[in-house]
This record gives sequence, C-alpha cells and structure tokens, in this order.
Amino acid sequence: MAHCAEGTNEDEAFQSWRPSMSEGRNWAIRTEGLGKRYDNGHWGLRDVSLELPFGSMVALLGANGAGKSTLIHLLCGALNPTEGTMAWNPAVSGTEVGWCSQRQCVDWYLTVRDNVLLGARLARMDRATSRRKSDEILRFVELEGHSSSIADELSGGQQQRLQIARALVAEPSVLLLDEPTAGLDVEAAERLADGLKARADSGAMVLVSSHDIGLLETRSDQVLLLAESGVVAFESRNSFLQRFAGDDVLEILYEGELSAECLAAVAREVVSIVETVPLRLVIRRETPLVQLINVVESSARIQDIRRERPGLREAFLTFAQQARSSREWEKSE
Amino acid sequence: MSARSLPSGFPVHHRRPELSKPWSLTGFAVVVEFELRALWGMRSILISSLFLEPILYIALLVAGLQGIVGNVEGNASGDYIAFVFPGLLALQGIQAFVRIIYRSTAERRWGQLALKRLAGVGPLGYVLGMAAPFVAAFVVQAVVATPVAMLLGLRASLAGWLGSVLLGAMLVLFWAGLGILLTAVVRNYQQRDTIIGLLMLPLTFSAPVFYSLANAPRYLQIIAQFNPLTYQVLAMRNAFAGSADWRTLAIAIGCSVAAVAAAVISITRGELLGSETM
Repeated sequence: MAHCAEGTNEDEAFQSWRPSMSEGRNWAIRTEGLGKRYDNGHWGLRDVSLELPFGSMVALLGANGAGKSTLIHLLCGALNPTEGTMAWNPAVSGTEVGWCSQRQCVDWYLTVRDNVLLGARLARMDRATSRRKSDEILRFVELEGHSSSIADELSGGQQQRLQIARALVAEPSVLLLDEPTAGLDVEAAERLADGLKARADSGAMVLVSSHDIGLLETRSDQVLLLAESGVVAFESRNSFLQRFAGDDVLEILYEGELSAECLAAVAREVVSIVETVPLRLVIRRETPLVQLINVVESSARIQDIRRERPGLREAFLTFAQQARSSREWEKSE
Repeated sequence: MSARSLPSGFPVHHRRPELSKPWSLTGFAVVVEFELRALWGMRSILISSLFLEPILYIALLVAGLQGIVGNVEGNASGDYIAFVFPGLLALQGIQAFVRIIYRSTAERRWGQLALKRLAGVGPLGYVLGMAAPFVAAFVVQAVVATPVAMLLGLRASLAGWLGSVLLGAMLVLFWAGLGILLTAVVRNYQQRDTIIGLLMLPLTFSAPVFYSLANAPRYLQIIAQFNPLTYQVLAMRNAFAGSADWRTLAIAIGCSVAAVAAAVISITRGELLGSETM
C-alpha cells in the first residue's frame, strides 16, 4: 500500500474519518450464549458471551478451527446463530459495518472499481461521493492501476486488498475483519494495521483476526482468544499478557564470578534462575532492576543487560502449550 | 471476560433489524445497476446469447422444421412459424434459469448476497434486482428475433407481440426465482451442475414448444401438465394469437408469483453465506 504524504487523498481515506459518537454508543455488539452448529453437526462456536466496545481494536486469536471465522460471520450477520442472542447497538445503522472474510469475497464479474463502488453505493453514498471515495481507497490499497480489470484477473493478495478497500470505503464504525493481512506484503500489512488502529483510536470498533500476531502486538487494545469453539479469554492486552506471558527474561553479561551468596540473593528477587553464565533470569514484569543490578555488581562487573519482554505471540504460544499439555494429561488419565 | 446479561427490554436480534423485512424493495436499483455492470463484464458471452442464439434458432431450426411440419393443429393461423415463435421466445427466457443459478451460487459462495443483505437490501429487492437484467435481456432477444422470424413469414400484431413478450418477462421471473431458490439448497458445484443437467432437457422437450400437445402421446400430455413451461408457452402463444385462456394465464402468472415469493422466503430465512464446500 502506498506511503502517503501528509494531507494527500490517500491519507483522507483514514484520517478524515470520525464516527458520529453519541451517548449510549459505548458498545457496538453484545452477545449472550451465542453458538453455531453447522449442517455436519460440528459446533463452530459455543456459548460466546461478550461485549465489544467502540474505540477499541480487538485482536481475535486462536488456532485454525478455533471458531474465529465463524464468530466474525455470526457477528456481521452472514451466518444465523443456532443458539444464543446477539444485539447490535441500536445507534449503529446497517451501513456502518464493514466486514472482510478470509475467503476472497469479491464479485468476480465486476471490475475492481465497480467492486469498491458497490460497497459505497450499498452504504447509500451518492454517485459522485462513491466515485471519489472509491478512487481514494483504491489509491490507498495501491490498486488504482487495476481499476478497470475484472476482479477475477487479480492475484490472491490483490483480491484481499480489494476486499479491504470495499470494507473501508463506506467508513464504517464497526469493522469485522477475518485475516485481512493474508496475502499482503509486509509493508502493506503494516500500513493496513496502522490504519485500522487509527480508526479504532478515532472511536470505531475494530475486530481483527490474524495469524500475523506481530502486527497486532502493539496495536490491539484487547485480546479475544478462542479455542475449541469457545472463548478462553477476552480482556485487555496487558491483562492477557500478564496472564499468559507475565514474566520477562533478563540476561546479564558479566566479568568475574558470582558467589553463592550473590546467587542466593538474586534468587530471592526473581522467579527463577535459568542459567548462570551468562546470568539468565525469569523475572516478574514489574520487577525493578536497580536492586538486582546492585546484587550482581557486588560480586562481578556487569558488561551488558538485555531484557526480553514476551509479547502476544509468546503469550499465545504459552497458552497453546498449556492447552496441549492439558489435553495430553486428560488422555493419559 | 466481559460477559453480561442483556438488560430486559433490550432489542435482541439474531440478525440486524433491517434484515427482517422480506418484502422490502430497498436496494433494488443498486442490485440492478451492478448486475448490469456484471453482465457488461461478460459482454462477449452476452453478444452470442442475446443476438446470435435467437437468430440461429429461427434461421436454422425453425426454417428447417417449417418445411417438413407445415401447418400445426391447434394453432389459430395454422402456420408453423407463428406456432413455434412464442415457444422459441420462452426457450430464450428459460436461459435465465441456468445463468441465475450460476450467478446466485457465486453470490452466496463469495459473500455478495451477505454483503448486500447486511447493507439493508430487501429480499424482494434482491430477487427482482437479480432477475431484472435477465428480463431486459429477454426483451432484447425478442426484439432481435422478431424481424428474422418476419423474414420467414411470421405475421404478428403489435398487441399480440407485446402481450407475448410481457408474459415472457413473467416467465423469466419464474425461472429466475426458481434458480435463486435452488441455490439455497445446493451444497456444492456438482449438485448444481447435476440439477441443471437433469432439469433442463426434460423441461424443454416435455413442453409444447416445437409440437402441439394435441398430437403428442398420452404419457407426454400427462407429463406436460406438470411442467410450468407448458402453461407459460401456451399463455404466450395465446397472447401472440390475440386469444386468451384464463386458466392457462392464471397458472403461468401464479407460477411466477409463487417462485419469486419462494425465492424471497429462502433469502430471508436461509444462510447468507454459502457452504465452505462450494
């Protein structure tokens, strides 16, 4: 996607947008006991109760088959729930929802521009505005050169960009995006994630599922973790990290030898000592380093310190490992 | 987890509120506009089906048959081309069935139906919007075919021609509605192709398009009674000849209304997104 100079039309696609916030519009979607069973009898999702707030970017995480796509399709109304209830904030009009499926949901017989125009026209934009907005968003996703091509002629990544463009063209206040970065190159994915974060910061509710967890690392406000067709966690990113990746790893390079007394003092300050040369420690996220450094320096000369803070990816992997261990334990029982 | 009970009196919807109006025409114009754009995207196919097919049918098949069939019992003019012409128009109209099945299957599979319905397009608006370009295509085909048939000796009154084309438009609505209805139950492309293959041939040849039922074997007369195309062809033929059989007309129009209604209900109640296997 294009780098945009300040104030250009491409920028307007994201930056000029502000949702019409009003009282009572603090939540976008509520569900209670939501579930979906497919024709083959498989439950794609069960017992999902949650409230998705405006002004938040929610990272939807889960392994393949965990129910991410089912949840997004249920929330946008493309699938009927088998059980439970779902409510949209009454202040959200039908045209304020943008969604993007994991499959390339485009009209193969329409041109690229017509696909985006369709999104704008369905959102009740007049023809002139539809054309202007469509051209802006096509520039943003770098498809302006393919405007007249039939969608079928695009590559997978381009079709994904087209789908995103159509979802964004109407400037929706609710965005439900299933793997929007699949097939995008690194730069385009980063730029899209920044744009989505900007929308969330402006007041939109953005729910994004992505296997590229690194993209959501610093941009997500909340994490919704699914496993085996159910919700495992729905909480703030920090709280999620605390739960599944609460400990940091501290590596200290030093000259000299650490005495037994020194190591005993260090052990009192940390979760565990992984190794002594170099000194690798597992510490609580909020642990201050000053005291620890003083203890080590009482015995050796510190050359370098590196602190590794596990992120969403590590937290997700920790959860997955715990879940696997739990399943193996259950089997052995 | 932020799990809360919905407060009492809170509006609860399995879908968004605007999805609950089956007979809404909202979005009709947008659906028509983009279906026409999609048709334009397939204009090479369109040119052959809109212009060449009706001309070739009349210039080759009808002209050939006319020489050996001659006059037809049960036709007011007794002239074969006047007998077969409304049936040929009906055959052109029935093409909407196959095309809309293909189009509608893609619409469900690739989320276009969901996109439109979620944006507030009414089910009736959607069904009629999907059918409208095929109705327009049918009218073009009738306009193209008529001069060719006239060169072969067809004589028609304007009122008869208009009546026949109007009923042909109703026929297109029937087959479009049936096509959309079928895509709601079709699970994969194989099922779709099997249904089309199994239905098209018997439907076409068990209706009195090329022959008069009066001369057909008894079993064919019985089968034809259960074929909607029979009533549609007869109603168009009657209109073309300037006569009217109210029972046939009522059945033909009733079939169209029922098919559109069934399609609307299937759109309202069914899943908006096609199966993963499609």
